[in-house]
Amino acid sequence: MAEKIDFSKVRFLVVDNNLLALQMLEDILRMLGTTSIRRATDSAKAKVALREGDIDVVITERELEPETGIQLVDYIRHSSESLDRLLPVIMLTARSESEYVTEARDKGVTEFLGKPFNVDSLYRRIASVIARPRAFVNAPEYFGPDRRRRQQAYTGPNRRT
Amino acid sequence: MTGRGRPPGRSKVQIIQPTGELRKRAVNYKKGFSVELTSSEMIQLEKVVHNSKDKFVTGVSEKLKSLRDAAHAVGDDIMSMPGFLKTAEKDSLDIKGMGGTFDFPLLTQVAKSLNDYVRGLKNVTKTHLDIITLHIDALYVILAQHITGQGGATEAQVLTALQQATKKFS
Repeated sequence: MAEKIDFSKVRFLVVDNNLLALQMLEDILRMLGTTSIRRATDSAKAKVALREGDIDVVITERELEPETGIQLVDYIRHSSESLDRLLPVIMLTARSESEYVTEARDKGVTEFLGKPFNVDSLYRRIASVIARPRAFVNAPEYFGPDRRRRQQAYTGPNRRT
Repeated sequence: MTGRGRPPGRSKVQIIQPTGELRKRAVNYKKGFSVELTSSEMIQLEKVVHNSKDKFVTGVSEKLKSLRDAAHAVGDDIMSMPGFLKTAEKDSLDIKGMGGTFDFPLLTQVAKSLNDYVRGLKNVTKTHLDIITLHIDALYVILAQHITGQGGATEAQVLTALQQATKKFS
């Protein structure tokens, strides 16, 4: 039997300064069955929502005012005000060039998706953060989801006896 | 990660296993959307996007109209140039980010060309403004003529010409 996700049990915060994108995301989440969706059109409002709590997944654009989506991720991962430093964050952004992907990964974004997107790609990322949560790494220069995504067999010389 | 293998001076790295609390709460075998989407579930979600298409076309038309008006106005008022460039950058990024979702990939490509161009501009001349206006006009035509997909040979030539102009007059 296939696993399902009951989206009525998942609470989202969506952050985007493009109202049409925000509305479409909300419509998609409602179709999935989500009932708890908070919207923010800038990073300041997003921070207020985060401090109020009861959020399971954040979907955010990178290009925000007054602070960027990257700074919002930094707030979630590092601020003493953050209620959940392990909160899954999906960055859904029109800044989809490789340097932005790397930046997002290194700042602790859980999943990255470039705009324009298709619903299949978006759903895969949402399902992934809910059904396949990743371990976190707490290191001196990085705090965020484990960036090692592929399990590769070791092919070097065997130096252990 | 403690032990003999770590070089001196290296700090500890801690691996925090996920609690799985959200998974326990939401994942089940009875209710909801499949973790791996079925084709009927996919069709349901695609309908949501399709239903937003008219709003997208209307929204982009309004953005382009106001950008075109602003481009004409800014020609006479150099002081308003920074504000115009900021608006052009924001609007072109919005259009770049949504065109392909609504089956307007050409719109996305032209908007990307415009966005890359205005981001790199410093001292703006009449030629720069003309190239921006050409991009706005091209976006308008794509939308007005409802050119979905990649368009044809003419559209490809227009895109190439715009990209060459941005390189030549950057």
